[in-house]
Amino acid sequence: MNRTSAKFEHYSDAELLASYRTNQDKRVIGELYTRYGHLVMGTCLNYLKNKNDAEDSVMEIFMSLDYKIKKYEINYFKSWLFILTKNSCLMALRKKKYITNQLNEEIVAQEDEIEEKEIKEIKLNELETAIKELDPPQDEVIKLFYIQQLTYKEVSEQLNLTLNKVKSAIQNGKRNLKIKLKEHDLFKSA
Amino acid sequence: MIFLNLLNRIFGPRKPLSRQEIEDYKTGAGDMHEIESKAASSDFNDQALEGWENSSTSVNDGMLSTDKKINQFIKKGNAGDSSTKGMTLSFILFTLTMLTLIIFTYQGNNAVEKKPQIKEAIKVENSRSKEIDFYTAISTEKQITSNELIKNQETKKEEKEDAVFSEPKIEKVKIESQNTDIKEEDIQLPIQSSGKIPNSSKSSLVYKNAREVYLSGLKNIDYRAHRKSPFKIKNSLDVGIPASQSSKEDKQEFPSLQTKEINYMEYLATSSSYFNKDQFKIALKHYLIILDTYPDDVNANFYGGLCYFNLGQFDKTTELLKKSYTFRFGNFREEARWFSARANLEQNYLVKGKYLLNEIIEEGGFYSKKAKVVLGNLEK
Repeated sequence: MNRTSAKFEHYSDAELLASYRTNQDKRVIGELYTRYGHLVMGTCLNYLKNKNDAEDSVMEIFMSLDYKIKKYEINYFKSWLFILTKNSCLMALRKKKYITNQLNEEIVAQEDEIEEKEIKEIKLNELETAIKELDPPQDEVIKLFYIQQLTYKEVSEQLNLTLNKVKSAIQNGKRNLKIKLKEHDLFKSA
Repeated sequence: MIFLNLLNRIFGPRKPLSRQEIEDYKTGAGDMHEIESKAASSDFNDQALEGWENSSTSVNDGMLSTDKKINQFIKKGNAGDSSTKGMTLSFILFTLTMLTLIIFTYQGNNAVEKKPQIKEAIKVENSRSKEIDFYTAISTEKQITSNELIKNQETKKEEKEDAVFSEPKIEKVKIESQNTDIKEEDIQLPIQSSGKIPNSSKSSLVYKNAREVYLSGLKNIDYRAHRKSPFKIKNSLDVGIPASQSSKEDKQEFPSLQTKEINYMEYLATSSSYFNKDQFKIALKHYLIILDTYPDDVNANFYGGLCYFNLGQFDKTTELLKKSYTFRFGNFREEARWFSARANLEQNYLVKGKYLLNEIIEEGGFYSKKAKVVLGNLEK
């Protein structure tokens, strides 16, 4: 038996969830696993640094979907699943006494899923001005990565930065760029 | 257009990374920048990529165990539901013989159910193929043939050589590939060491020319470094299903519907060969299949767009040509804009067409003379 069905391949995440709430067909969970299982596994590997623990967490997460899909109203499944995965990993680490932080079960939508409708027609020179206003090395990293389309490694070599610094400059640069575009009322506020 | 692309690239949502992409990234075989862009657009992609990157196992091996467990979980879950419903009825109504009959019926149903599932998977491809068969080619004088493209390539090359005749010629490598060079538009804005952008109203965007390879005499981007893994294509549904293979017992069900793996460059070479022979319908089908796996493939977008042009589908022409050049792969930009202008004019979109022609003239490239002639005729 396949874990999914061809008919579900063309469903959006929201349609899959609606279908599951109506029919409780487990192949819906199979389809969600096909789409995101490897991302959940990768995230678990990143947090837990251990393949067996990561596999346990992946199974726990997907088996709990049966109950959670019915219980929660989920607007952005991918983001919700990411939060669920992180929380699950943090709980696993807490069980091992690695951390003692209080876990937050809130389900939020990540920005990456709602930004599409925010993008308005911004003139190129306004975008360039906003990039120019970023602090170094964010300005250069954003240009090299998004305009010159260099890889992390190429950017790190060109600017003599570590890979982690390149990654964080991209994230921070994007966030600051968005703030600047909003300041000039060029971005619809979220 | 350019800045919307750029904005989308920075802020737009990206699809989740696939297993193949993560695996390609681990092995260094994929389009590293594209994969990293996806990672940069979502924390989920980013964390997952980092996790896999630091893991010693391949993605497929790493997922093997959970794949099996999930399959069992789903099998059990669905079987559990049906067995609960069926138990009471079977206990009251059916004898052992009846149960055997039910099992046979169940098996028969399963075999029947599979047909629409498989059909559904390739329905889109088949309807597209049928639609293409209905297209009618435009008159041969208006068609963009391989002869025209090759002639243009040669003239362009000669003009380039004339311009730099005093410089040493670039040594040719096998299959006429060219080394990567960066073609800067006259509207460039270089990155300075200070990291500040000079204040200019013009665009700073630079289109790179990637390594090229000539297939059936036609220019193509050499994607060999990016498309090492074979991609899957589905066989046509047009062939019937042999009666002997319609039952569940046959393991090789519907062989004509199975997928097969094919090397990208070989498939592209076949597609180019069809284009070269002016077999635009079959060439288009090939290019669209490439686009199913690689939607951003500039070769397939460019030549697919030209096939649409020759088959009179001008709106689809401009749609594909728009995607036939990117900052990294700008090799087709000049041609794509020229043919887009022609497609617009064919549809009587005079404003759009003239606008593009004016831009081509302003940039002063290879097609600027032709654009001037066309524009002159339009304004008479």
